[in-house]
Amino acid sequence: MAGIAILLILVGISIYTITTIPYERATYLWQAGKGIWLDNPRNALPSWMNLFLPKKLPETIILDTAEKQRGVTKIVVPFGKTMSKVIMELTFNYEYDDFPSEINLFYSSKFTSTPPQLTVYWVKPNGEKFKLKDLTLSEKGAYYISNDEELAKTLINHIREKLGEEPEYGITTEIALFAKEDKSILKKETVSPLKGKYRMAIEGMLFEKDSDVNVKLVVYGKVYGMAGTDHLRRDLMIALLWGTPIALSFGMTAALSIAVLQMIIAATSAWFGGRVDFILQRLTEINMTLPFLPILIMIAVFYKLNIWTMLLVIVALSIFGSGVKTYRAVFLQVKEFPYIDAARSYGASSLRIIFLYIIPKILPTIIPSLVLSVPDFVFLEAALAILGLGDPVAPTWGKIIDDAFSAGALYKGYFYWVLEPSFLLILTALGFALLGLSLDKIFNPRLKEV
Amino acid sequence: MAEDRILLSLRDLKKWYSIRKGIFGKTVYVKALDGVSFDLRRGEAISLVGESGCGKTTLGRTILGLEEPTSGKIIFDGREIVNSDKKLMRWYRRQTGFVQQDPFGALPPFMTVKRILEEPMIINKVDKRERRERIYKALTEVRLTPVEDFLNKYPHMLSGGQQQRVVIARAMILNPKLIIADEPVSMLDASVRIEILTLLKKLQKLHDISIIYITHDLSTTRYFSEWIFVMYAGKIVEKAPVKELLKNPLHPYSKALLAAIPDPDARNRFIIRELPPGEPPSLIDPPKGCRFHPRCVHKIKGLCDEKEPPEIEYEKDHFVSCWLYVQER
Repeated sequence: MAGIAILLILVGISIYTITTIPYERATYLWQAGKGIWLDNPRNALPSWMNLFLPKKLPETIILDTAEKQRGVTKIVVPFGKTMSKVIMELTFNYEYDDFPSEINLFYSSKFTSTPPQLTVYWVKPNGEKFKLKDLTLSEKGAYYISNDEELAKTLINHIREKLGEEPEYGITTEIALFAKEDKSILKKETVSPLKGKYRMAIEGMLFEKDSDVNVKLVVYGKVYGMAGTDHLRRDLMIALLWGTPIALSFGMTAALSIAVLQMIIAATSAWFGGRVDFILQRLTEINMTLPFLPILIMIAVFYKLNIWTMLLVIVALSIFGSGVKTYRAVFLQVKEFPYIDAARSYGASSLRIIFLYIIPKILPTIIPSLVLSVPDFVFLEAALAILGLGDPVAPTWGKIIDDAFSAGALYKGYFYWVLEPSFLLILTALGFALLGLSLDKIFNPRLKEV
Repeated sequence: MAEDRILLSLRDLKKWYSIRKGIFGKTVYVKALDGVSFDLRRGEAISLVGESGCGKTTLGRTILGLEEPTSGKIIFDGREIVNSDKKLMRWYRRQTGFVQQDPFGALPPFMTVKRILEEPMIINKVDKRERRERIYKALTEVRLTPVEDFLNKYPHMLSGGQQQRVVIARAMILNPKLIIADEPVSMLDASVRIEILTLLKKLQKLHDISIIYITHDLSTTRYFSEWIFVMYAGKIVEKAPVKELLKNPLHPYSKALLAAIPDPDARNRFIIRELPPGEPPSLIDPPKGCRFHPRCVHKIKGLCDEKEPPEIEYEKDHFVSCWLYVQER
C-alpha cells in the first residue's frame, strides 16, 4: 500500500509537471540562457528551511518601477523645454535575521542621444542616508551594488570613523548597508541586520523629451521557493519536477523492454533448441562477460547521447543478459508441460506457442522482479549523469547531483542541493521496492511461508 | 478387413532416440518403437496395453506427429503423413485429437475454458459465430452444463473430472476422426473413471470416431474397445479382439498381464500370483531374438534367444508374435 501511495504521488508529480511546464520550456529554463534567472538568489536554501532555523533567513525582495507595486513611487517633473527631473523611491520592510546574499539594481532607459543620469541614495530605518553612486545609464544595464568595491571602502571608512575601531573581518556591501551600526558590527559573530523600513531614493535627470527610465531593485534573499536554487540561480524545482517523469519513464521502459526482449530470446532459445539455442546461448554468455558499464561509458563518451538514445543503448546491451539464462531455465520446464503438446497437436505454430503458451505461464512470477528492477535503471541514469555522461539538455535528478558535485556543494554546505534529488531517488526506489514485494506476495503466494 | 474402412495404418514404424555416451563415446539408440504395424478401422477403438516404458506413449505421440518417426509409414485416410507438406499436416492435425493423462497439466492454467476451446478453432480459422456454437455444443456433449457457468472459469477452479471433460471437449472440437487417449483416467479418482470412459465411448459412437486408448490397466479396456494390442519393449506382441484376448491370451506376456489383474475375492488371499520374473528389458540394447525371452517361462532354448518370432494369425483376427505358436519352426 505504501508503495502504491509513493508511486501515485510520483506519478501525480509527473502528470502535473508535464501539463504545467512543457519540456521545451523546462530545458530552456534549465540551460539558463539570456539571464532568465537574474532575479533569483544564488545557492539559496529552500524557503521551508525557515521553519526549522532559529534565524529567519531573508526572502528575495524585488521592487520594480515599471510595475505598480506597494512601496514604489516614481515622479517625473518636467522643467525647461525638454528636460525633466525624475524621483523614484523604493521602500521595503526588512524583518529578517540575516543579511541578503546580494543587491543589484537593474535599469532600462529610453533615449536617443543623451542618456539619463541618476544618483542613488540608500536610507536606513534610522534615517541615515548614504549616497551610493552616480549613474549614467545605458539602454539596459545594471548597477551591481554588491560588487561596488569603492562603495564598500567608503562604507567601511564610515564605520571606522563612527566607532573608532577597526572591524575584525571583511565587511561586505550587504552587511554594511543592512547592519546595526554599533559595536556588534565589528565582530562576525555578533553582526546583525537592522530591522525596519529601508528606502532607496533615486534622483535623476532626463535630457530628452521622450526619455524615460525604470529601475528594478533586487535584494536577493537566502531562501528561495520549494527547492532552493543552484550556483546558476536556477530554481532546482524545475529539475526536480522534470526529473520525476523522466526517471519513471526511463526506469519503467528500460525494465519492461529488457524483460520482454529477454523473455522472447529465452523462449525462442528454449523452444527451438539445437542450433538456435546454441547460438543464442553463446551470444548471451559472450555478452555477459563483457563489462556493461565501461562499454556504456565508452559509447556515451564517443557519442553524446540524449536520454532516449541512452535508453536504447542500455536496452541493446542488456537484452543478452543473465535474465536470458534464468528465463530459459524456466522455459525449458514449461516447454515439457502437457498443454504445450496439446497445442502442437491441434496445430499451434511455434510463434503462437512462444507468445501465447510459454511466456504467459511465467508472466505472473516475473512481474514482481520486473517492478523491483525499475530503480536499478533509475539509478543507472543518475549514475551516468553524475559521471557527466547524461543527457546534456534534459533536467534530471542525476544532473542536479552532478552540478552539485562539481560545484563542491557538500564542502560549501549546500546540503539541500544534494539531498533533494537523492531523497527523490530513494523515494522512487522505495516505492518500487515496496510495490514489488507486495506484488510478489500476491503473485507467488507459495513464497509467503518461507 | 475391407480396405475402405481402414482409417489409419502403421507400417514398420520406428522411433529411435539417439544418445551419446560420454564425450567421445559413440552414439547409441534408444529403440522406443521398433517396427510397429497395425490397421485401425473407422469408428473402432483399440486399447494399447503394456507396462511402463514399453513405448505406448511414444507410439501415441508419433501417430499425432509430435515425434518424428525414424522410419516407417503412417497412412491416414489413404494419405502418407510422415514427411508430408505443411498443408497436409495442417489437415491431419484437424483430424486428430489428443486426450492426455494429467488433465490439469493439459490445460493452459492462464486461459479460461472458453479460450481453451477457442484456441484450436482460431488456429484452424473457424469463423467467430461458428466457434461459439461449437463451444456450446462441445461443452454440452461432455456434460459441463449449464455451459455459461464454465465458460469463464480457469482450469484450477474445476475438479479433476471436469478438467478431463474440458480436455475431451477440446480434442473433439475440430470434429476429428481419430482420438488418441493417453491414459485418460489414470490420474482421476476411481469414482469418475468409468464416467469419463463411458463419456468417451458415447462420443465415439455419436461421431463415429476411432480411438487409440493407451493404458496399462487391462481392467478398463473391456468397457471401451473392440481390440486390444499388447506392447512389449517397443513391439506389438499380440493383437486380438477384446473378448478373445481376455478369454484366451496367447503370448506369455499377455498371460502374465492378465494374471496380474487383481480380483477382489476372499478366496484369492493365499494365491501368490505368478508374475514374470525380472525387469523390463533395456531399450538401448534389447535382448536378441524374442525380447521377452529372458523373462519367459516357456522359452525354447536356441530359438527364442536367437531369432525374432514372426507375427502369425493364430485364429481369425488374433495375431501373435511368439515361437510357441509357429508350426514350422
